[in-house]
Amino acid sequence: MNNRQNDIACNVGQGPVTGKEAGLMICHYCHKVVSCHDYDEATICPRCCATVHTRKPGSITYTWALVLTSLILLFPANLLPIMQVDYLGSQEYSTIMDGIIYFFKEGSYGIGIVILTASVLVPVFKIAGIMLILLSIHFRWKTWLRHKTMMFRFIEFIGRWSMLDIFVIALLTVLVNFGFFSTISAASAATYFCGVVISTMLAAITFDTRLIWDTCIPPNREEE
Amino acid sequence: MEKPVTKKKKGISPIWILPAIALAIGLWLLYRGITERPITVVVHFHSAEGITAGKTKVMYKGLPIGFVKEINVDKGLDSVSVVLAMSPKTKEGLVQDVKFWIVRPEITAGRISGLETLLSGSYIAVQPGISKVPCREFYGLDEPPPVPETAPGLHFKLKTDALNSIQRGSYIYYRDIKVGSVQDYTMEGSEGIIINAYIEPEYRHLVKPGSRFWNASGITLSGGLSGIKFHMESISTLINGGISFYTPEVLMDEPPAEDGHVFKLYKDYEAAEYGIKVTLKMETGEDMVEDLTKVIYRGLEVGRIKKITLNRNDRKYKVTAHLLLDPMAKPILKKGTRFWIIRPKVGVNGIQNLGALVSGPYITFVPGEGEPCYEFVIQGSHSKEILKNGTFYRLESTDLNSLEPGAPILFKHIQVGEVASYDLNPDNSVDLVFIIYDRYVRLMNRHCVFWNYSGMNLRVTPAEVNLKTDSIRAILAGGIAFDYPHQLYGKRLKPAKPGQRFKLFKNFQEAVKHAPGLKPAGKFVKLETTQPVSVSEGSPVYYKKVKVGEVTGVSLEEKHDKIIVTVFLEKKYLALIHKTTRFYLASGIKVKGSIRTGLDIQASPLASIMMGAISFINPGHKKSGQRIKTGQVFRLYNSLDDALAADYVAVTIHFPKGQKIKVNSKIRHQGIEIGHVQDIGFENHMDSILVKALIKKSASSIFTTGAKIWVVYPEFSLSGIRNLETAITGPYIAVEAGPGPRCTDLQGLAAPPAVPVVKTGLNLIAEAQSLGSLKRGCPVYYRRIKVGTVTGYELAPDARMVWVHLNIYDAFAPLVRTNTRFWNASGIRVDAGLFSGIDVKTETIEAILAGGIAFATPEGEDMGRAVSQGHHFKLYEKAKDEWLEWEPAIALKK
Repeated sequence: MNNRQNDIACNVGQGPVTGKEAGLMICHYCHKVVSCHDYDEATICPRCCATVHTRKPGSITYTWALVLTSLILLFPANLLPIMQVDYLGSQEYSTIMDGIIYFFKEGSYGIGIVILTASVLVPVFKIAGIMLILLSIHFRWKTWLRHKTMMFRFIEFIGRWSMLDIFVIALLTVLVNFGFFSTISAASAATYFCGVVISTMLAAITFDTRLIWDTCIPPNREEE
Repeated sequence: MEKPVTKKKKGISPIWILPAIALAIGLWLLYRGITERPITVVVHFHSAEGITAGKTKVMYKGLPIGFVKEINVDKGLDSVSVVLAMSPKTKEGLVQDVKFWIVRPEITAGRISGLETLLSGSYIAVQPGISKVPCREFYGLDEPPPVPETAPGLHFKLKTDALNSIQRGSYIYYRDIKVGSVQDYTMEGSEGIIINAYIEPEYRHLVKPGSRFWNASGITLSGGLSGIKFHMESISTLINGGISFYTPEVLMDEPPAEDGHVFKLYKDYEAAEYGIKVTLKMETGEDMVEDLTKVIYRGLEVGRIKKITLNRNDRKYKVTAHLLLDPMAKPILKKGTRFWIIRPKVGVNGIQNLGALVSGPYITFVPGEGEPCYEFVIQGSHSKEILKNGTFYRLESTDLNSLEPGAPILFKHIQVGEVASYDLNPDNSVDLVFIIYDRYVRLMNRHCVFWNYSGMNLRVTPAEVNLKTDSIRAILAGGIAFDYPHQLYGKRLKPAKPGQRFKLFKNFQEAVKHAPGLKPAGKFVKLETTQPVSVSEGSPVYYKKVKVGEVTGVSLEEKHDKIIVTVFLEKKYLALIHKTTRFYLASGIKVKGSIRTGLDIQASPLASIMMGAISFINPGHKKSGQRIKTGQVFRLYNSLDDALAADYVAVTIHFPKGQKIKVNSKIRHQGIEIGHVQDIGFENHMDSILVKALIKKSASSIFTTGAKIWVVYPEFSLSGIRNLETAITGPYIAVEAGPGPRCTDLQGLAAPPAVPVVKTGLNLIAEAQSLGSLKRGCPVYYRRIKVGTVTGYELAPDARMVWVHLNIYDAFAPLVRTNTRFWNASGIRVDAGLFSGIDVKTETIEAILAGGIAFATPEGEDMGRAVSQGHHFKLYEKAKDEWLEWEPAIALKK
C-alpha cells in the first residue's frame, strides 16, 4: 500500500499527473473532458452546456459548514428524547440511547447493535471521517490518502442507512396509535437527528474527493 | 501557457448560515436545559411500594411537576429515600413544610380511593407549605395530610360521643352535595371525640353557628305500630361514612360560623332537628311515639315528640313528652296555650280525625295569652274547638248516649251544626249545647224536632247490642238529626231564638210520636205468616236492595196462630206494590248449595243482617191500576225461593226404591228443565219413595195419567257414554207425557222405558231370534254409514221373538223399503273351510265392539214400497252375499 502511495507521490513531481495540472476539466453531468486552458476556471461544457469547474466550487467551505452543522445538531439529537410513548395516560420519553439500552436489556442484541450502528455510530463516524478528511486537506497531511478516499466512499455508502432510526419511529407512530391505550409519537430529537443525517449527506455530496489528492501537489507547483 | 484566472470569492459563503442556525438552536437548547434543570429533592418514605424510578410522577392538582429519579434505601434500612426531580417552577414552593405522600389505589371496606392510579400507577402527591425556609430534604407521609389550617375554607370541630363509621376523609354533605371532609379526629378525655372538619371555601357561608350536623352514615330505622320511618343518605356515605348538616331557614341570615367553632354532631337526622323545645306533661304516654307523634296546629305540622320521659315525683302527670316545635310556633307559646291529644275517634257520631287513624294520634293546641312559656300540661279533650261561626242552641236529653262534642247535627243527612259541649242539669237531665252554622240557621224554628241519630236504632234485641262493636259504629255515622213537619217546608216560620231549648228524642220513632208531621206519606199494609219471623219494629223493607219502607209493628194473632207484620211503605214507592206482590223475609246471610250445585251465598244489606228485613218481588205482569189499599193483607213468604215457588205446581211422584234422587234434582222434559224436586220422603210402608216436585206452571200439562217418568243416570258402555252430564250434575228425572188427562199424583218407572218414543225419524221393529249383543244405542248401518240407532228392545207379546226397536234418522228413512233386509252386524264373522280358505267379515270397529244392525235394499222394482212407522222386519243373523251387491238408487230426504 505504502509503495503505491509513494508511486503516486513520486509521479506527481515528474509531470502533469492530474487533469488539473494538464489543464483538463471534466463535466459533472456528461463527463466530457474539457480543456481549461482556453477558458476560465469555470466554463461551459461544449456538449451539455453545464458549467464546468476544475474542482467543485467552494467544496471545502460547504462541507465544513455542513459538517459543523451536523456536529452541533448531534448533541440535541442524542441527548433529547426522540420518541414519546403514551401508555394508558402516562407519558414516557426515550432518547436514542434509552432505546438501545432497552433492546440490550431485553436481550435483543441484534436489533440493539443495528440501531446503535445506524443511529449513533454511523453519524458520529461520518462527521468524524469528513472532518478528518477536511483537516487533512487543510493541513496538507499527505499520508493515508488512499485510505481517506476509501473511507469517504464508505461514508457516502452508509450515509443512506443512518435514517433507519427515523424510519423506525415513523413506522411506530403509524402502527402504534391506539388513542388512550397506547400512542407513539416523535419527539424533538427526531428533528435534530434528521438535521444531522441530512447535513452529513449533503456534506458528503458537496465534498470533492479530488481535493484529497490535490494535497500531493506541492504548493509551489500549484502556484506556478 | 495562459494562466487560468483564479477568482477569489469575497465575503463569507451563505452556507455558513446553516451551522449558525444549528449553533443557535444548540445554544438555546443548552440554555433551556440549564434553566429548566430539575431541582433534586430527597423525600424519605417508609415504603417505596408502587414507585418506579424514572417513571413515577410527582403530581400537584393533577399536573405532573416532577418525577422520581432514583430510589435508595436509607442507611438504617428502615426507610427509603426517593430522589425527585422537580420542575424548576416548583423552586419557590419547596419549603420546609411541604408534604409528600404516595397515592396508591386503595380499596377497603371503608373507602375506595386513588382509583385512577390503578391504570397510571401510583404517584407522589404534594401539598404546598407556608414556610419561607427552602428545603430539599423531606419526610413523606404515610397517608394524605389533612387540609392545612391555613387553607381557605371553614375549619371547625365537631363533638361527638361515638365515631361510628366516620373516618379520616369522610365527606361532609349539604343537601347531598359534598362540601367538605373530615380531616382528623382526636379523643378528648376519655369520652368525647373531637372531629376536625373542613368545609370548602365556596360552601363556607352555609355553615352558621346554629347549623345542625348529624352522622349521615348508614340507615336509620325508627318507628312503632303507628309508622316506620326509614332514612338513608347516599350509598357512598353508607360505605364511607359521612356527615350531613343543614341550617334552618330562619338562621340563613345570620353571619357564617367562625373557624374553630365547635358543633355538636348528632347521632342521626332526627336527633339533629332544629326547633323550640317544649315539655308537655301528660297522664299517660299511650299512643305517643318518639319522633313520630306530631304536633299539628290547624292542620299544619309544627313539631314532633322527640322524647318521652317518666316523671318520678309527679303523681298525676307521670309522663313528660319533650316536643320539638317549629321556630315559627314561637309566638304562640304562651302561658294560656292549651295542648291536648287528638285520637282517632270512631263513634256513632262518625269517624273523627280520620287522619289520626292513619297517622296515629297527634297533639294539637289552641293559642292562649300570657307570658311566653315552654312547659305545659296536657288538657283533657272534652271540649272541642269550634272552627265555624254559628248560633248556639240547647238540647235537653235524658241520656247523653254516645254523643260527644263535635258530633254532627244533621238535617236530611247534611251536617248543619255540631255538638259543642254538654253538662248535667240540676235535675240530672243532660244539657247539650250545640251550634248551627250560620248558613243553616234559617232551618231553626220552634217546630224543629230533634232526635238522636246514632246510626242504628238501639232498640234491637239484646243479642244485637252485643254486636254493636266499634267498627259497626264507625260504619254507621251518628249524631243528632232534626226535622220539622213537611207541610211547613217553604213556609215562612218564626225563627228560633238563639239559646232556645229543644227536647232530644231517643230516636226517630219517638220523635214521630211527638210530631206525626215528620213522617213521610205512605201506606200501611199487613203481612201474615205462620212461621216465626226475625223482623222487628224498624226493620227495613227493601225492593232490589233499596229501602222503600219499614216495619212498624209485629203482632201475634192468637186466633189463627198467625203473625201479623205491619209494614209502612213510602208513598213514592207505592207504585211498586200490586195485589200480586209477594213479600218475603230477606234477613241475614243465606248460604245454600252443595258440591253439585255450587255455593250460593246471599248477603243482604248489613242492616238487614242485623235487624231482619223484608223484601218483595213482583211476579208476572204488572197490572197497573190495581192499587193496594191501606191495611191490605199479603202473605209473607219465608224466603225468596218460597216466594218464587208460589208459581210452581206441586206434583207427587211415587218411585220404587233405590232412586238416587235428591232434593233439588232437576226434572226435565226432552232435556229442558221444567222443575225440581222439592222434597223426598218414604211412602207409608217404606217400600217406595215419595218425591214431591215443583213443576213450572207452563210445563204442568205434561203430567198426565200414563206419563212416563224415570230417572236418568250416566251410562257407560262399549258403545259410548250416555248422559255424561248426569255424572257431574247428578241424576235427573225425565218425563214423557202420557195420553190421559192431567194429574198431579204419578207413578215413576224403575228403569227407563224400554222403548222410548222418538218423535223424529222412522221407527221400525226388527224381529230377531235373540238379542245377541245388541243394546240400546247400537248403530244401524247402511253401507257402513250410521243411519240410525237401536232405541230399545222387548220381547214380542207372544215371547217368540225379540223386538228390536230401530230408529232410522229422518234423512235416511227412504232407504228402508218393504223388501229391505236387516241383519245383525255385530262382531266378526269368520267362515273357514278346508278349500275355501278363511273369510273374515266385519262391520265397523264400533259394531265389532258394541254390536249393530245393518240393512240393504234391493234394486229397482224389487225394493218394494216405502214403509210406515212401526213396520216389522225380520232381523237375519247374517247378510247374504247378494244383498251386499244391491245398489238401489233412492233419493234421500233433504
